[in-house]
Amino acid sequence: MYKYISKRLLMLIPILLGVVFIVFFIMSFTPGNPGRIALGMNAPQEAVDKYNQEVGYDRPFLVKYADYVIHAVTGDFGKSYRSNKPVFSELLPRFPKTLLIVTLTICVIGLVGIPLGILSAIKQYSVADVSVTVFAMVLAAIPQFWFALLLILAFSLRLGLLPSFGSGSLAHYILPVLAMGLPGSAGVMRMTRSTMLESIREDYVRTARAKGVPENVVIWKHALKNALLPVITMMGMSFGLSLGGTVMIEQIFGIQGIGKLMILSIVAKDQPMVMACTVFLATLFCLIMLIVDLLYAFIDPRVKAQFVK
Amino acid sequence: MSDQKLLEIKNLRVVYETDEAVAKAVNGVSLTLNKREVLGILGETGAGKTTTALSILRLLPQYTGKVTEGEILYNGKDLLKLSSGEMQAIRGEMISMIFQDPMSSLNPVMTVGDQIKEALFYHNESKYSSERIRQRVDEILELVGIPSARKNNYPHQFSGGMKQRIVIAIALACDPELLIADEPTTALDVTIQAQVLRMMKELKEKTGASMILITHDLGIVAKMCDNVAVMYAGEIIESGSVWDIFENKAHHPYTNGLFASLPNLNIDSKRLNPIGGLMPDPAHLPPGCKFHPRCPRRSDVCKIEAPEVFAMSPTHRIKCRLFGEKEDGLL
Repeated sequence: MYKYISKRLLMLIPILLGVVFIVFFIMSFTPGNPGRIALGMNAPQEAVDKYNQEVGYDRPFLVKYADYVIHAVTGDFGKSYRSNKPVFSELLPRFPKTLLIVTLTICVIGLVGIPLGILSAIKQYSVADVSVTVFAMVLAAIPQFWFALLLILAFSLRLGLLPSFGSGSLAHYILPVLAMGLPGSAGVMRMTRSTMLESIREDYVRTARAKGVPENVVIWKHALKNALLPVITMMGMSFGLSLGGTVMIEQIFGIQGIGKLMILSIVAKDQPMVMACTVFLATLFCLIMLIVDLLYAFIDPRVKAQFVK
Repeated sequence: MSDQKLLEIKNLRVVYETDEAVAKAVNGVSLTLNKREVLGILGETGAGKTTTALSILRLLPQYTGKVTEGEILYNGKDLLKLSSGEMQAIRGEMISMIFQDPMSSLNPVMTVGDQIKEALFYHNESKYSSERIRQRVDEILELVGIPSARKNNYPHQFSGGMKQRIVIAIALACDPELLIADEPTTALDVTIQAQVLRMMKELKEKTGASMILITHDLGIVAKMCDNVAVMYAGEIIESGSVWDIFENKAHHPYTNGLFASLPNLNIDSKRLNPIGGLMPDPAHLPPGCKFHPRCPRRSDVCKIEAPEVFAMSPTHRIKCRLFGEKEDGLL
């Protein structure tokens, strides 16, 4: 198992190199330059060129890329063009807010998606099943940003129950988390339903019933544990999607997290900051997927048996 | 052998309803099982043997499988009328079942020890301590010939024969009065078959349980059973003691066909002698006698009118009009 973990951690290297290359490429060959954006449209060209030269933006692409990778390996991810401070000193303080949103979102996805999925599986074809299915379809079809705006409209403007902007208290997080979590739960709901339907019909579930095990134990212990594997993968994927989703949600709800920082940096052509955010989120996503794969082994002993020495 | 009735099935009818068709899987089966007796249910695949067994435990597939008629009296109580809570108390404790396919009958993500423990845990009226339950798990594993140290292993760590022993251990955990064994050896190879059968017979004698043994293997019936019921297309077409079936001359043409299809080792023959044709589709059963399309001795009446059951002796009954002249009692 340790061998497996270290292998997976080593795999991070090519993945991150690829991610860095793609984002670097896009950032370098899209129009606009940091000098012009920092100094404004009316600044003289010389000043702009000087600015670009100072931050090192005017060098050829490959030189910049190699330079970036070499420095990054030594832990130096550069300074932000905007603030001239090391990127991680600006990024890391924002991370707790983003992490809180994403974690709560995953909780909402799990707590809404899995029980409703189970409900609609064990009451297949019932009114409850149909309602859950319709609910899931509607949620899956709604664009997140629009759903977020609807939530603000209803809970902040009409009812005045929840704040719509900022991150001062936990209450500030309720709407953004619902805006991401509820649409996200639709997929998990459908997935749980289908895997549960499959495992409920398995022979070992019949064996459990024949043993005289109470029906709720049959469902929650025997059927669910076997149905969970694909659902857990999906939850891991949702984690990644939610990380991406924060870019928009933090913008809408005015939360100073990594997503907001990323948008600011992209708009300002702040290449080191965009790179840092991307590398950070990509690493996080890979680690989450590693944890998901390790969770598999916890749930299914057959998977555990596959880890070779 | 006492003649106390443990289980009596009266005119059981089961259908599987789907959008496409209604499959009549069991069509008026009546059976009696006395205490400490082994009843063999013999028949081809698709004859309704497993469906009959599953209806006893009320484990037919949800939504599709339905009992449309009949009674299943267990110690005089109709199982079909019990609440699901009462039924759950009976399953595993009084009646337990050994399933056909050991590969898929065990939960892959639970240790075998836990799976055996569950049966004891949920029928723990005598309030055994957890220590006593643990001991009992060890005992029962040793009883089926598996070292108790392996109780913390998962099903994928066992061979097929050992898995079947664990399935049997689960069924025996609570000392049930009635054990339903649904082709317990079909998935096993011949050497393991013999072991498992010998073990089941010993265990049955030790615990004094009654047994319904479902099989398509005539050899197993001869070795294990006191009484035999031969099923065809959801009906019992012949029933009797093991002597009636194996020694008597008079038989339903289907039973004759079954015996004729066994290879005879005394004669040098190149080919087996199967019964021509196939079991009818339960969604489109033929009118009249359900065996008539395959019957070598059919007459025109057989195609229209279903035969009655004729008693050849107090124990031996045949559902075929060939035996109509001996009309000395209907079932």
